[in-house]
Amino acid sequence: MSSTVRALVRVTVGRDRVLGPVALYVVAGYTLAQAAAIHWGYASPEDRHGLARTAQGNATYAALLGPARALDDLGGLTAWRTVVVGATFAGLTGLLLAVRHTRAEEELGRGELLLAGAVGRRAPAGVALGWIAALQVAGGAVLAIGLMALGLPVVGAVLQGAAVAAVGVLFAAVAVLASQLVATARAARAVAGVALGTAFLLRAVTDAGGPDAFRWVTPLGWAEEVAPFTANDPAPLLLLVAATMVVVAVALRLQGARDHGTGLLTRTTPGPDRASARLRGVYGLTIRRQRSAVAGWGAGLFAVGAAVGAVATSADDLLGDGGTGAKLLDRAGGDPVDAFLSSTSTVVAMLACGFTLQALLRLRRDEVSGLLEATLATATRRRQTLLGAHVVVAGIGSVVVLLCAGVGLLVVLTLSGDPGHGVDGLLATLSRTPALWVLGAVSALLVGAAPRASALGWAALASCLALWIIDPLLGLPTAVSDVSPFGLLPDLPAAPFGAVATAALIAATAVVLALADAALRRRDLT
Amino acid sequence: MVDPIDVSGLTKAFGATRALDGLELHVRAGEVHGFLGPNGAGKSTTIRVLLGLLRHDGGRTLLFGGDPWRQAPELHRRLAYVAGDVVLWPELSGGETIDLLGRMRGQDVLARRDELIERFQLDPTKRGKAYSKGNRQKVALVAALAADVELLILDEPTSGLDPLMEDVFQQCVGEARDRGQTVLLSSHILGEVERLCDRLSIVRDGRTVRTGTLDELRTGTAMRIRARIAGRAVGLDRIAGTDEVKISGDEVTLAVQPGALGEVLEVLRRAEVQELESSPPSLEEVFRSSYGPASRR
Repeated sequence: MSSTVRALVRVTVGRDRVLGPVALYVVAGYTLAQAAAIHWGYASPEDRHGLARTAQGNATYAALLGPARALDDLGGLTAWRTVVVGATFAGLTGLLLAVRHTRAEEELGRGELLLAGAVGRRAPAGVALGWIAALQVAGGAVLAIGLMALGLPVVGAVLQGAAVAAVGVLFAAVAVLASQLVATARAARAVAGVALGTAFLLRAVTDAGGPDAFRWVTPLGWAEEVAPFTANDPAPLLLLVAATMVVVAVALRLQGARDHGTGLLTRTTPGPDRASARLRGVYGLTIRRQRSAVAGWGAGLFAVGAAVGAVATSADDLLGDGGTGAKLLDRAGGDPVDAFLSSTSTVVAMLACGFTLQALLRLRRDEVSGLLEATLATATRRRQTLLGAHVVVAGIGSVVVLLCAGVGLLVVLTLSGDPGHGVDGLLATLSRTPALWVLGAVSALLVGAAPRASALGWAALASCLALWIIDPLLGLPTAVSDVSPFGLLPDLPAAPFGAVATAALIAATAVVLALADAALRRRDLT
Repeated sequence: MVDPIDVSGLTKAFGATRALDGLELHVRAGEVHGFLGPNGAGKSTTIRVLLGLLRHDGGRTLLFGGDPWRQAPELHRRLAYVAGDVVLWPELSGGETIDLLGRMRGQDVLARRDELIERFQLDPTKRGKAYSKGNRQKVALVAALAADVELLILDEPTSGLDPLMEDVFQQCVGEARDRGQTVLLSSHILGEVERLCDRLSIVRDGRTVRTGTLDELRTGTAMRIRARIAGRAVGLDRIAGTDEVKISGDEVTLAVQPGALGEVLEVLRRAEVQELESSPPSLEEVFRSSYGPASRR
């Protein structure tokens, strides 16, 4: 290793002192928490058998978690609960870290500083990929060792760790490729995120009863096919590795061929020579800057909503008898579609919450880039700039994004002749709004009180998802499951609208925002 | 009339680092005030305190007689600021940014906008992310200079401009003064400071080391003397207040503090001086003597 590459490695690794361990936690933590819950919660074969009977018929679970194989086996049950979601988390950390070390650096101009030194054009991306691969492999190893420690067979544990890590590395490579195509970190995250989302949706549709061929075009389908603890098939791992090598080769080739700072697909079109009347004050500015994000997330969630609607039409066949499916069915008054919509609405809302957090954390990015200083040097109040504009736009944008998902559902269900359930689904989706707001407020508080840790808002959202998945399995006491705002809200349409929970969350949002405002107005800006 | 900027005994620490350590800065209404000092002396920190972005630890910081931390929005209606490292909204065009900044300062109509865009040869239709450093500065400068505000705070505003644009900038600051605007100009470009500034403050290590008009600063800085002598000049370098004494053949050169001039002339007279030339300290020498290590001052 030359000394310049060594220096590059030091810089890359050093920048991830905090995020590196967070990524490890995300990659391994979710799976191990689930595995531990299963280990202690479903120790007896009868418990597992009961779960197996019910889970087999639940389309929401099939769409979210993949096909259930050998659920009366501890390993099979663990793999079913964790492979798809764990691999998706790994993919997400891989792509976020990859953009952070490649396109984001280039956009900020720091990449130029490196390239002006004795560093090859491809070296930063290569080193970043190597580092992320090391992190993912470490995460996979922790995961495998943890599974073994819980008494699961070695081969399955190693295969699962390998599958999860391989997906993480693949999507890091996809993000580096996306960074070649577009010129901003935001756009690169969006492109790579759409790739991951599409991969997830394709396999969700397959697993909820769609054409089986879809499974073989999505890397998450390959990870499923490894089937740790049951089929134990290492062959799909080779597919993942081969795909990664192809993507890396293409990405590095493009990196070597293009001008620094440009994206291959990005053309800069001239803008207007003066501002329209609407572009005034921080509200106009924030709306202008967030509208493309709202449109992008809205379109994505419309597609998700439509997919949910398409699956819901066959919910009759998908909900099995007994167990979780039956409990939901009971509460939904025997209406299988409502039961299905109850659980999917929560997942859709968690997805939409990604927009909320992204929109609010922009505040921190603006502070770091110096844009906030430009705003605050004008006659703009801190409260307006910091909270007003960002909170109002993120808050309203969250409703818009949820509405898009609900409308997607409504359109597909109406087209298939069931507008009644379409309206149920739309209202159910919208009823989750306060959960998005409260998590957004927590992010705002982090920006105000602990700006360096503001990305922890994402960890909070991931924890909510983990809790939601783990809850029906363990039958957690409500005191625990209600820690997540998504758990606190009644799951419409199976349950009736909960005015108290809704009001409580809105009040909590207000209190947390007030704290965030106080913290933000008191501190120096960096 | 209240001084637009009245800072005294200002302190600000970041952790263990004392960025400002009793800084003084008094800018009078209607003047162009140069704000100078080596890198890291605390100029930008002072400006960020004045803008209410940082909260001071101690001392008095008054902007138009008000508290810049508490009354930031009201006070900011009366000023325009150009950062040393201009960041623009990547999505907005230059023209949109100029209008938006004006509106956010409470100015819907920027009378000189189009004229300034023309003079700075700025393309207002480019997006923020597409501008070079110099062009980003032009966007911020047009937005600031077009605004009818009482005070302009300019933090090294010309570091990315070419010499022709530097000339345009200097004309514009002159016009601003003629309109009665007050200007705080942080700069490293000595010609710019010499031409534009009525008074200067020089800071070092978070403290103000010199302040006054250029003439006042020249007094108190060593002048250069060159003499031709027939005899021998003895003991010139032993006189307190002389420096860089060089004798080669019959030519003597040295730097003399004003207080030591009489004694030096006495020595030269005894050495049968034939020719004598003295030159006042250049601005550069004023700076060098203020920026350098304490012993040189």
